[in-house]
Amino acid sequence: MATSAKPAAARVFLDSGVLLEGIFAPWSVSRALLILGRSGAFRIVLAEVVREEVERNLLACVDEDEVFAEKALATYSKLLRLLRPQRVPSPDLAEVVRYRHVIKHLADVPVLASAIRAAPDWLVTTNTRHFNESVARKTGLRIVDPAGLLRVLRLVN
Amino acid sequence: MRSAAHKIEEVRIGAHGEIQVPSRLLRARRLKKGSRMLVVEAGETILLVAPDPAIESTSDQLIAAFARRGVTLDRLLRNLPKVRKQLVRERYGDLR
Repeated sequence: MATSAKPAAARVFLDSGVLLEGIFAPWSVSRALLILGRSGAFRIVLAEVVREEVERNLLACVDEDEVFAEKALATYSKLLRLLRPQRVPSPDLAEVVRYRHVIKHLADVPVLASAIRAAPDWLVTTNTRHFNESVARKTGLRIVDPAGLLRVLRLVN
Repeated sequence: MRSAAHKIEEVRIGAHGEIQVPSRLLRARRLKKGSRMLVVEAGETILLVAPDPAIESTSDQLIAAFARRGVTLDRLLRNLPKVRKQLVRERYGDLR
């Protein structure tokens, strides 16, 4: 009997706002994306810079309570493991310099460089003002917001 | 054979907009009376997404812990650009 190969799941790169929203907003589209990613509807791609940015953001809001911070980070790490993401290492300085002029805001360059390296099917961001059509055109990345991903993704192969 | 992998079942909308989820899915997703689901408009379709218990319990712990300290999603999202700038400056220096 002939067997048909299962199509590869789409790879979806999540920006920090989507990850934060997915964690902290139980009734959001971003939460639906985390659930769908974990269920295998697509593969979540997680950049180290995104992971670290969200981690630092959590730490920035807990003052200097080390016990709390340690617990919170352990829970955050557990959540990320549940998502079984494909990890993308941080870009080096040369990559950041190379893509410096592709996006207006300097602070977004490492995330953009990570996405370019990962070459995902989709980059999902809550900040389509910075990660705009011009950036998409220059990089070839397909950029959408969380609701946009659900509109374009073929969830059933 | 994976022919039944994406089994389609029909549901009808009741007088008050309610739908009856097929019992097979209720069992498979461990849903019961009172369970909540995400209803997501996705283009021309509507997705019903059952919460993932592992994600729920882990994220609920974070939400509760941060809420006790008065930290909300809004605050975290507002703080994100600042953290992003700091991280870039620390790691890559001044690239202007």
